[in-house]
Amino acid sequence: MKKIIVLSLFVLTLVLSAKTTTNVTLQTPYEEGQVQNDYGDKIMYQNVKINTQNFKINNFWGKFSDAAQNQSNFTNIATAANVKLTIENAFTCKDGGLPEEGCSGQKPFLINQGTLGNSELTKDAMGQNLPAGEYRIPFDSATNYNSLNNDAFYALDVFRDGKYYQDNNTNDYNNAKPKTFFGYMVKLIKTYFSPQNDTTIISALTQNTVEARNRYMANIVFGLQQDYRIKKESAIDTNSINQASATKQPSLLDYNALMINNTTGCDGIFFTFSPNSLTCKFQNFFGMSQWMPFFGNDTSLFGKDIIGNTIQSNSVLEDTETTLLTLASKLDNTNYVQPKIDPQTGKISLLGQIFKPMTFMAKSMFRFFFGANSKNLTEVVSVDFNFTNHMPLTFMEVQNGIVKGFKYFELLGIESVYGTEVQECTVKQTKKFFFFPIGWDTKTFTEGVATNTQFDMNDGLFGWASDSTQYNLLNLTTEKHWYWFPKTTHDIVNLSTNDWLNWCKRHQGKQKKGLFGRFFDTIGNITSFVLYGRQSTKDYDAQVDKVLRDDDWSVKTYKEKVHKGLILHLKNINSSDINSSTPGTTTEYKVMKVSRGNQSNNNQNSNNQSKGMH
Amino acid sequence: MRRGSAALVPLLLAIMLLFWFIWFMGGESDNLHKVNQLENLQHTQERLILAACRKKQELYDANRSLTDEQLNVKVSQYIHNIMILNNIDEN
Repeated sequence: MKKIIVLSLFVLTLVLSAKTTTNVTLQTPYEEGQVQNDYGDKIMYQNVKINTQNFKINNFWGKFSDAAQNQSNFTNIATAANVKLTIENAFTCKDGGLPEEGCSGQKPFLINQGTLGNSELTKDAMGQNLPAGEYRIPFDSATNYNSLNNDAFYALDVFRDGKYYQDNNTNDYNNAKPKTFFGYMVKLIKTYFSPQNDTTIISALTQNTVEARNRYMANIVFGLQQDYRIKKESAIDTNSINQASATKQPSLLDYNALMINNTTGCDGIFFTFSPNSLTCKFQNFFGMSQWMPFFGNDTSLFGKDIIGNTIQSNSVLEDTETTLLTLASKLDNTNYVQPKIDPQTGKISLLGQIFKPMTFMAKSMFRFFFGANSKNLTEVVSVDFNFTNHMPLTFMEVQNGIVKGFKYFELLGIESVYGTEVQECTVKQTKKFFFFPIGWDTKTFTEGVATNTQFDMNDGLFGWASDSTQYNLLNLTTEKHWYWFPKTTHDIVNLSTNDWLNWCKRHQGKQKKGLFGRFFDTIGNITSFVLYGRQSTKDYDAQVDKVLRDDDWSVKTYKEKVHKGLILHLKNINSSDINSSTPGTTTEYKVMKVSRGNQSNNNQNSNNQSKGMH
Repeated sequence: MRRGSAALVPLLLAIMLLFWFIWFMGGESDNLHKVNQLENLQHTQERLILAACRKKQELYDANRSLTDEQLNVKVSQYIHNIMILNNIDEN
């Protein structure tokens, strides 16, 4: 009996002295009903319960009053809530130094409805099918826009308040936390692209275009400003360009969209806004300008040779690429543009190792990368950046100028596409008389101007025939003349303008290997190919080479154009695959419904409201 | 004295009323007081709901290998610590 009393007392003490503790139950977020809000943000819900156990309330008045108890003990006091999660693809907002209203999950990109149904966009650079849900969507300039196009994405000009992107020459980027977009952007570029160099910003465009450009890049980095986000079923002005600042209505965006520069005798140089600002010293700089548009300093990765030159790159295409690449670098904390020094030659090839030949390009891509009239593209290569974290992007899906919805993508990679197009070639023939040069003959071939040059294969002394297997693949005709002795029927090889131009490309002296050949010098073979036009085969080329070599032809001048394109390698993701753990997203929490419950172990009448809890 | 003692009647009444009032309020305010403490706790809990959500996300972002269960344990610990600071939970 005594033992029981002692035990009871012990148990009672334990119960009364149980510690107050709080624990949390967090349900995994779930979807419910509407999963997108009007701005394309993912909506999820999460139930949370915070429960405090063994909560004691000491009642002061209990000391004076019989009616009041000294202490009330609650076994459970819980607050449960249904929390709404708004998940936006705005990962740079957090540390971008911008207030919340300056950023959102929307990016200033437009695709027409039906684009994802285009099977040409589901093939990789080699023409193989991509895994399900993946697309390679090229950039097209606003001037090409047509509401029926289903093969590209377009840039949008969406209004943004000046305070969210303008730089007032404050050198804001020197701050640990830049306040302006530019400070942030420049800091990013400094950090990820040229850690050892200072960066300056160059403006070569008109003020209005500069504004549109700055707005655009800010819109990519931070997403559209909250106040100017694009709502479902709202209109986009697809008939005008760069109108955001005037009308505050989203419109298409374009500035200096397709940059083409003649690269006569100076291969590897890739245009700038003002071609005169570049010289051939920049040869090795090829490929750099695209990733470092703000790069403009006295010392560079390539030593002190390029003093005083600046690289400018002001086009929608370039800016889209640079900005996305910088963002991905930020997300991955990786610099995707690393200079590589070849141990044998000591030459710095910046992107050499990552250039890949590209053998497949959708027909439409060709059109808008290289223009409707470009038909003789000799070479296309691409450089592909693969990202560790797949940056989320939200595109506007538009039909006839009305936003029909939002498409979520993950940016798997960026492909920078380069192509060279032959423009013109002047060739010369050294005339010889018994091995002594006695004069020259020159011909000029221009792309698009058809010519036919005939070579008599049997014009040797006594009509000695060349071995016909050495030219049998070429365009052959025969000609017959009674005065040809002893052989009256001769084989005639006909070379077209394209044959000449292709030959020029292969034999252009310093440029023998083509624009991109040099980058591959250190890494081995590269397949060169012809898009649109006859596919060059080794034998065919060899036979042309032989015919022209035997006839002593050589290249005098050679002119080609360099084109650039941009393809985004995207993966379409269902909204069900996005949650608050998706890299690159920001989640806003909002308590929707709160319910409370408590339970007192010495007051059976206490209100128990746990019914409403989940 | 007589005049003085007559004046004491309302004074005594007033003192009695005061004691009654103390007694009365003692009983009633005990309930009020209890409700207030409870309310305070529940308000604290309510405020901590979003903190718990954010903390879980933060923990997950910092270490993606953690399981949901491990995260919940850590979040509970975090909230418990806040409650200790608020003199609600006992250490």
